[in-house]
Amino acid sequence: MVITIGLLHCLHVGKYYIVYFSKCFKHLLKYESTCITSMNNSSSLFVSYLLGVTAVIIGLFTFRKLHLPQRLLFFYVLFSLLTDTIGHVFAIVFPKTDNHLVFDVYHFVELGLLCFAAYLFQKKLKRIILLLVTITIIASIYSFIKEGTVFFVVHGLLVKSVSVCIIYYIVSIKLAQSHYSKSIIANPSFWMSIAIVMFYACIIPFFSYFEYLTITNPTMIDKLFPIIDVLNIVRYLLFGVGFVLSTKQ
Amino acid sequence: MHNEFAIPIIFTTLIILLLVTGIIISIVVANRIRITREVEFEKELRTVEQEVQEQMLTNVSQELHDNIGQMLTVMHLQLKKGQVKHPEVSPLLQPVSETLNDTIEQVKTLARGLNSDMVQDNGLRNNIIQETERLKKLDKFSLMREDDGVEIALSKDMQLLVFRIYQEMMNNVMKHSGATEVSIRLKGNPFLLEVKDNGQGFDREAQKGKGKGMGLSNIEKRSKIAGLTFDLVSSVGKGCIFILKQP
Repeated sequence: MVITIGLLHCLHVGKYYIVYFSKCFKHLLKYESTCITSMNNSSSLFVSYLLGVTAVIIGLFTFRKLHLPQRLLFFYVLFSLLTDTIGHVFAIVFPKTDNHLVFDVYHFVELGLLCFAAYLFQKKLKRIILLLVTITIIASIYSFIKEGTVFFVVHGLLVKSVSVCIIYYIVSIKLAQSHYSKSIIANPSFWMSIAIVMFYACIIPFFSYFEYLTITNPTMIDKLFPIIDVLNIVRYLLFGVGFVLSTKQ
Repeated sequence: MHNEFAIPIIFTTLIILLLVTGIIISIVVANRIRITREVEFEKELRTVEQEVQEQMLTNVSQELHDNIGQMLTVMHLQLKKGQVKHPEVSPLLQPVSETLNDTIEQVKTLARGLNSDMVQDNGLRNNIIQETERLKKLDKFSLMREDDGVEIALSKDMQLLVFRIYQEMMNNVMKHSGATEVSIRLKGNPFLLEVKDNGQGFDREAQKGKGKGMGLSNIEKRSKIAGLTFDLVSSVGKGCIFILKQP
């Protein structure tokens, strides 16, 4: 509890996170025809969308061959993609309406899906998963009390990232230890786990500076947001590899 | 001014990315090392298992040669003595004597085939020839042998393993195939042994599902120890081809 509250104080993030998604999407629409190789804001977002959709399509085709935790992770990818899209569409169609509710729901569903999938991967981790989920929920509630309904999800994100990283790091190690006869590289669950570890570990610095930047230099967030897009690209790419490998399992 | 914030964020992200990548690489490397160790351990275990089997076969071979073979020889001598003592029943005992003689020969060949020292001394090609001749005498199917005569590019231990595989293959053909024709192809370098029959064939996946195929799994195990590739081509009603070759 002390750690969670301390962490929240340290990583107290800003209030422009939700609005930011709509800005990015507008960029995407504006620069729709921009060459992908230029890798500006819109192109990186476009590539991440493209890979996300591709990963979902591959996941759909291989769905029958996926094990239950892998299916949950497929729904997690699908849900991430849908949430981003719905959030952006909301921002464009109803620019004056807050689309935060979409991301609030996403926060909890994502946490549930990831943690339940991790539990199914390694049932022995039940206690540690429960502990970390509890910490994340407490952090979110603390944030809710302190900040109200609009931004509590943003604060919970950092705690969630740390929790998910720890859980999936342990899952990856356990998978590597229990995967006999074949190399771990052939295990789709491993690719999915490292996608999650990489994504959630690497978004921590960006969101740690978020509050500071929104106060001091909001335009910098615009310029740095492609980091998240690049991380999304890596995440969807690794999930795509995982889904492809599932055909051989 | 802007870089004041951008650099630490990008730098920290990159550091974390590198750290995570490093951890993942170390997990993969550790996994590979563990698998290599497991494979080596399994190989060692199989080798020991193979040695125990060979020892057992040698014991059986000695028992066959020294005990049963001797008893059959004594029996044959007694029969001959009876024929001499009672010439009036000699024509009646003659076929029995011949059968007994054949049995003694079969037991001797079998004992030789089971004795690993003799098999190793004899060489794979001679062993296959002798075993083929022994099987021909059983008159269960017609046997054709094709041999390129080139020296076999395998060590003595490997040749012993290959001979055991050959015995298992022929055992399978005799027990399950119902074949009328069997052909054996042997190539020395690169090594190839192919046993083909025109029997009923089988669906291997279905056999696996039924939990059968002990002989085949033994063949596979031995092939792995010998470092050879084993292939089996078969389908219901279309016979069966066993292929053992150097990769």
